[in-house]
This record gives sequence, structure tokens and C-alpha cells, in this order.
Amino acid sequence: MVFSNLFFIFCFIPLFGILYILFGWLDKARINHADRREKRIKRPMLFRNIILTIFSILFYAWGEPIYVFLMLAVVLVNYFCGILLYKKHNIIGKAWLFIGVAADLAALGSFKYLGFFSGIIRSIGFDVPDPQIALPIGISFYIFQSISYLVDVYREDSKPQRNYFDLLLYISMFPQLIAGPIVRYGTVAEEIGHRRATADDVADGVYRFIIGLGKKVIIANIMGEIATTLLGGNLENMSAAAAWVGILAFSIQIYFDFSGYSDMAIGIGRCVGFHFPENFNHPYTCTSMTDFWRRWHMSLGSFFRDYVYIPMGGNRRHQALNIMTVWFLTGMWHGASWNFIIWGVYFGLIIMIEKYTLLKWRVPKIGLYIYSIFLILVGWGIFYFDDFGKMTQFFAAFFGQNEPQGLPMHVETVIIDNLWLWVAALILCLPIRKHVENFGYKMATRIPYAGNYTVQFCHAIISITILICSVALLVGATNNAFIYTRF
Amino acid sequence: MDQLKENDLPKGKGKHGASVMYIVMVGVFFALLTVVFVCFPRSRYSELEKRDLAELPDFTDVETIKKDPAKFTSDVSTWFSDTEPYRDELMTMSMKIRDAMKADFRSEEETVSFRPADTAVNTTSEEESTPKENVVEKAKEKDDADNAEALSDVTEEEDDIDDGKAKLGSSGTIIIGKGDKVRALMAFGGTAKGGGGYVDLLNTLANEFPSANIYAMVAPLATEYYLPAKAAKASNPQKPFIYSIRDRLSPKVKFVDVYDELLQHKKEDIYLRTDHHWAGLGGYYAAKRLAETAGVPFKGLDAYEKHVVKNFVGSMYGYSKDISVKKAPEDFVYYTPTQVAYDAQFVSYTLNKNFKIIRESKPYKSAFFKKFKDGSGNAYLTFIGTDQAFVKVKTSTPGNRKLLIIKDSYGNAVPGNLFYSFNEVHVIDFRYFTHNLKDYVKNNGITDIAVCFNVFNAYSSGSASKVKKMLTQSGGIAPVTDSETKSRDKKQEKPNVAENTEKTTSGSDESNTSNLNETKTQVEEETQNVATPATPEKSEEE
Repeated sequence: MVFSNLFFIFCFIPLFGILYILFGWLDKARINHADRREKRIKRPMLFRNIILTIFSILFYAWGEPIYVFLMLAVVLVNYFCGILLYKKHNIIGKAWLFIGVAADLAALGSFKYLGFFSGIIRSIGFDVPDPQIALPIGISFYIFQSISYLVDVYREDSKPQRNYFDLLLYISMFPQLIAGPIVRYGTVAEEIGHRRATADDVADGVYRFIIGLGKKVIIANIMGEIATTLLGGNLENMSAAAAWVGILAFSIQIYFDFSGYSDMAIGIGRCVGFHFPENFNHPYTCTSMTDFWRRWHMSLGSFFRDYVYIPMGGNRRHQALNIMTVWFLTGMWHGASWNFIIWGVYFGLIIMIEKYTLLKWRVPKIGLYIYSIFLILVGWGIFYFDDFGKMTQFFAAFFGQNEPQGLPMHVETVIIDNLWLWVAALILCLPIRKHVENFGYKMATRIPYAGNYTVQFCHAIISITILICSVALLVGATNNAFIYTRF
Repeated sequence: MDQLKENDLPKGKGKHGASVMYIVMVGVFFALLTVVFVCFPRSRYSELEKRDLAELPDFTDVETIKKDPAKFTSDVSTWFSDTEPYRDELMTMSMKIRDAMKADFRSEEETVSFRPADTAVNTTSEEESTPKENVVEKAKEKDDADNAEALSDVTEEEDDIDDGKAKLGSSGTIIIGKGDKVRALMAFGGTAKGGGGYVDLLNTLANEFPSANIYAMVAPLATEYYLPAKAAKASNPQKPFIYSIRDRLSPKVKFVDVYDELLQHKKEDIYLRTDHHWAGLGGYYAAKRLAETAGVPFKGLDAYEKHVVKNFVGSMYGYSKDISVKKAPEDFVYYTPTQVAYDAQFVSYTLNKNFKIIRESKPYKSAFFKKFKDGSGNAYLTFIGTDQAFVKVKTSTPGNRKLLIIKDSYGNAVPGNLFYSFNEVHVIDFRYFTHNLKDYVKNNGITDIAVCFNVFNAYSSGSASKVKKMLTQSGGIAPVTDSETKSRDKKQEKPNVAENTEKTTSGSDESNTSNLNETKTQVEEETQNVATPATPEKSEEE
């Protein structure tokens, strides 16, 4: 199931919301009952966690009725390994860590990469069958969460989870299950057992969710249509304008698609009292590729930093090797296809070169912006095409190798017919909204009552407007899946 | 996005109350929406997209669910989002939202020149016979005088029908013109090399029926006549394709030059602006050229009564998903012969969900022209009323010429203009005919056979091979399982539901006018193998 689906919005969410509130009352009744007997209750969130876990499993099973068992098994393995390796600094602890991580990677490898590897083996002349495994949704995300759990417990950053269902809740929690952010165990370990959602949390969470919905449905879906129109068909002798506008549309699409999803995930989390990490920080305002990756899919970047780059030696030994490994893996993580690997290595090389050049020079900021945007667009060009023939045709057009054709009609159409959307999307890539909202919050603190009420009233109007537009646009939407649920 | 750290900011007074206000406002609104979406009666048919909406999968069919649970759950989601209450209203609203994103500052003075290919038409086709009467003159008298002047300068290069606006809509459509002159066109992706199946079919028919006259009729799309030069790249020219068919036909087959006939009348309303079909008048001129080619009498429009269905908005609205098409309703005009008696006998088919024929009705009499109310989006069904039937029309025209038209939906508009020309007119749809064609021709004493396809079906070898199969099929209807038949049965039960009631008519003719996005539709079938610039190739129907 995806968030931007009418079934999710009007069946799953209301049902979940009602039951979560009802079971919240049950929890409160238990707590009050215990209070009267002057006892402390051990698991104050018990009923709410049960509902959350059940709905998470349902959410996943709705899209993957069979692979849901794979997820349950992965959690079980991690559950035992976590307990067994905790506080064992000898070889036994290492062994359990190795077994756990190896099991996680084996699951990921066999369900995500087996087909890719068997293809490579076939291409060098060995006859191995194609396993024909469909990628289980979200496996890249929950496997990484499992690994972070094991490593954090091994490093004693967190205690192991003694309750299987609580660990299951952490791995399977539906807001972030299928497309992140990659939540570290330590971030939410406390909140699994004890958390509260105030009215402020719920209001912010709902607002955040609706903003994410709007990003996805109003901007990303339409930009996706445009990208498909311009980049999806026959690319032979395509015009430079089509290549540039097309890849720009895709850049906008993927940002609003993925950050919209993260917003929705963080928003739902807030409503039930979780604080998930931020995943984006206006990536298209970056000044270098190094900077870009501090702003884009931050939870993945920090995962690789903490669990690969630094353990390998960081910047103290063989930094170049460390950087290239991280970027090779980043590319690989996005999909079992060569273009993703090239895409990762592309960024790895640029970031390495930047370390010795750009980051040490003084370059005017405008130059840095142009440099960054250009490299990002090239990057998305590699990312978009998993067919090398098409990628070559695309870059030929992108770099003006084809004969000039001016502004062909189909390019003109997609620009003019969506002009206000282009304008809005480009503005929203800039941190303007953040400044406006910061101003609002400042006002709210200065003017008692009226300030806060005005801000929330504006939020409500924006929310209702976005909700109406999104629902209308979702009717008859044919292609609505989130890009990152493929990874 | 890129979140503020609210917790780090001081909250200010009244934050809690303001949050509660927000939750109540959005919560109440959301609750209302939820009630509407969950509790209100669900839509079952989309007038706008002209198709039945998805159906709730069968919860009791445990075996099927076990086999593919993922399909079941996704069917439920599809059903829910396909059948939401007020679907058409919401879609209209979504189109309005899309419309609001447009910037409208394209130059209005820009004029449009039609592509030279349109005018430099080769009119020396050998089958052409001398016109028997000046139909054009009479049409002008009967119709409006404006067209008459247009006729004289029909070969002019410059044309001011449109004001130069052209843009691409969804599903391979091109929208041209402005205001109430908007015209939606379909892109053609074929080349002169295609259509081998059609040529082969016609040549085969000529061999199978040596005593009959065989006619090839290929109807061009409106795109060929109205596509502005600046949009020329959006669609391939159809003329090279149509004339390459002519050149490949065996001498025994007569080529009816519909292309040339329509070109001479392109300033008249020969095509519907908002539908993917031609207008009644286009069918009339095609019939005229057929009659000329066949050497049979043909009457001018003064022998016809003109009818108008006002406020017609056809299928292109749903395909292009462009609100400007809806804002430009047109008159659906058709002509019924007044000086000849005719009697139509129908045999109609019942289809299951998968568009397989499961039952054939007994012959019954029904009106050849159906009457539609003003504003009906299905008015093209005026002709015959459905594709899922074959019709035999007995006319009072003397002689022994008996015509069989094998056609797609374009062909529906042709036979009604031939009652003055033939003693009998038989109409068979290429998709729905279960009898043996050889027997049918023999038993009915057919003397003339025309295969009238639009360029899509003439291009696709699949369409021709369906007709070829008719030569050998035995006439039986393949048995199907009950579960397949269930849902379609109710609608197809009464063969002539088409008459006068829009709702049921639409139900009985999905395969003709339904949405491009649905795989099992006429247009899909028409477009397959003809990958248009914006429409990816779709899979075969069965």
C-alpha cells in the first residue's frame, strides 16, 4: 500500500486512527487502575503498540502478502542475535554480530541482487538460471534498520530489545517501513516503550503529512508525467530542449516524491508520538556534491557514514578507498542495475575530487550553485536510464550533439501547460517556505494567542486546500507509486 | 520537508489551543470526506471516460485469492479508488486544477498553414468513376451556405479554421484551436510499410469470392486534415500509408478513395471535433465514393432528413483529459434517408467481462438509426447503436446488388447512406461475428463486399486476421465459465437497450468508446502496433 492512495487515506488511516485512540483509552484505564493501587505499570503503551504493530503488518501484507513472512523471519533472527551478542566483547559477540549481519545481507542479496548477479554470471558464459524473484517492497530499508539495530546493540549504544513484538514494531512500523527514512534503533528505542503525543504533536504531524501528500500528488506526479513524456519514448535524435526540460522535470519529481514520502512518514510518526529523523534539507540549494549528500536522503548518508565509512577508517586511513566503497554501496543500494552503480561511483569520484579542489578554493557562491545543479542533473540522467542505449542517446542530446531544433512543440506544451506548477516547484526547492514559516513562528511567540491562532488557522486553510486538490488529482491517477519504494 | 525544529523554538501563548483548533478544523473536514468516500453510493459507470468502473473482487472466491493474494489486495485498492462517489465530478475538478496551472500567453495572431501533403493529393486513382450527380451542390443548399464558399477554395494552403494553438494532450492526443473551435485529434504513428494484413485480407477476399466486387475503404483520422504545420511532428502523415495500401492491392480489389473524397470536403463538418470518429457527413462522403466506385445510384443530401443532437461532447474529452474539449460542445448531425423504405434486422451478441462473445440473440427488428437526447456523449451510437451485432437491412431499392460492409466503428456511419444504392445492406463488425463468412455471403447472395477500417485497424494486422478467421470459423460460440459471464449478462440481456436511454447504451458499447487507458477497448485495439508518439504500445486484447 502506498500513502498517496485513496484506499490508504480514507480506509486505512481512519480505521487506524479510531482504533489507536480507543486503545489509548484502554492504556490510560490500565495506568489509572495501577495508580490507584500505587503500582507502576511496566508497559504503558501496550495496547497502542499492539494496534500499531497489527496495522503495520496489515499495511505491509496488503502489498506483499507472501514476503511479509520474510520480514517476520528477519526480525526473529535479529531478535535472537541482538540478545546473544549484547555485552560480549569476545569472539562470541563478534560471531553473533557476524551471523546476524550476514543473515540480513543474505536476505537482501538473495531477494534484491540474485537476478542481477546471475545475469552477470550468464553474461560471462556460465549457464545459470534466472531466479525470477520479485523485489519485496521496502526490503532495502528494513534490512538496513535491522543492521543498525545489531551494530548499535553490539556497540552498546542501545540495549537489546527483550520483547520480540517491540522489535517487530521498530522494524515494521508502517510510516517508515517501505521508503524510509532509515530510522536508527537508538532514535526510537525509548519512544517504543514510553511516548506521548500532545495536541501540538498531532497538529504538526497532520500538517506535515498533508504537505507531503501535496508534494507527491500535486507536484511529483505531474512532473513525473512530464518526465515520461519527454524521456520515456524514442530518444533517437531528441532535442536538447527535451533532454534538459525532461531531466529537470525528473529532478523535481524525485525530490518531491521522496521528500513528500518522508514528510508523510515523519508526520504520521509525530501523530503517534515518534520523532523520526529528517531526511532532506533543501538539497537543490547545495554548493557542492559533498554538500548535496548532506542534504539528500540524510538517513542513508549517515547510515553509510556510521556503519561503513568510519569503521573502515574514515579520513584517517585509506580515505580514498573508504569513499569509493561507500559510494559504490550507495549506488548499489538503489538497485540491482549497472546504472545505479555508475551513478554511485560518479558521485564518489566527484566528492573525492572536491576534497582536494573545490572545498579548498574560494569560488563565488553563484558559481557553486550552477556547478552543483549541473552535476545533479547529469547524475539524475545516469539514474533515470537503466538502458545504456537510451542513456547514450539522452546524453548526446543533453550535451547538444544532435542538430538544434529550437523549442519543439511537445516541450513547449509541457512548459506552458504547467507553467505555474514549474514556478511553484522551483520556488519550493528553495528554503523560502522555511523562512515564511519561521517568520510565522516568531510572530506566534511575540503576539500572545492571536499569533498562534493565526498560524494554525493558515495551516488549516492550506491543509484543507491541499487535501481537496490531492484527492481530486488522485481520482483517475494511473501511475502513482513512489519512486523510492522500488529500492 | 526540511523541518523546522519546532521544539527548539519558544511556543508562545495559546499554542495548545491553536493546535486543538487546527486539529478540529482539519479533522472535521477529513471526517466529512471520509464519510463521503466510504459511505456514499459508489460510482459504477464513468460517463466521462465512457467505461464501466472496476468491480469489487469476489471475497468468497477463496481459491483465487489464495492463488494470488497480492492481486486480490491490489484489486480491492483499485476498486476503491476507481469507484469513488462523484468520480466524474472529481475528475472534472482535477482537470480544472490542471487547467489552472496553464499559462495562456501564446500568440493568438499566429496563423496555421496546413501541411502541403494535404493538398497535393493524387486524384488519379483508377477506380474513380464520374460523379453521377452533383451531391456537393445539393449538400450546400440543404446545409448552410457558408460551406459552399469554402468548397471552392478547398485547395488553399492557408487556412484560418484554427487560430494556431496546438498542444499535446494525454494518450496521444493533440488539441488544436481555441474556445468553441477546439478540436481534439489522435496521433497516428504508422508508416507506409504497415497494413500488410489488410492488403492480404482484401486480396484473399477477392480470391475467395471471385464473383463479388471487393472494395477497400480506409478512413483517415481527422488529424490528417486539421493538424497544424507546427504540430506536424506529433503525428505521422496517413496519406503515404493509405496510398501504399492502394498500390499493393490486387487488381481484383477496388480501392475506394475515401482520402481524396474527404479532402475535397475538409471545410465541412466531416469530422467530429470532440470525438475520435468522423461525423455523419464524413460517413456520407465515404459512402458516396463507395457508390461511385461500385457504379450504383447515390442520392444527394436532399433525399435525407437532417437531425441534430445538440451539445455533444465525445470521447476525446476522456482521452485528452483536457477541459477545453468539454468546453467546446458541438452539434452531432446525422442524416436519415426519407425516400426509401428500409427494414433493419439485428442479431446481437452478449459479451462477458473479458469481451468474449458468450451468446447470440435471435434475429430481431430494430431501428437502424437510434435517437439520442441533446447532450448525450454517446450520440455516435446513433448509427446501428452498437458494434456487438450484425445487421441486415432490406431496402426498397430495386435491383439485386447486395452489399456487405465489414467495418470497425468508423464504418458505422457509412451504411445508412447506401439504402438508395443497394437492395440489401449487411453490416458486420470485425470484432463480433461468429458465423462462417463464406456461408454468410453465399446464403445471402452478397454481390459486393467492402472492408471499411480506419487507419489504425487497417494498419494493425490483428484486425485483419480477425476477419480472415471468419472465412474458416464454424459458427459456434466457445463455451465460457459462469463466473466470467456474471457481470456482463445483465447489461447485454436485452439486445436493444441502446435505444433512447443513454445510460444503458453506454454500458453496451464499452469496446467502442471507452477510455484509452483501458486495455480492452476499441481504440486500444485500433492503436496497437501503431505506437503513436505519446501512447506506448499496448498488449493484444485476447
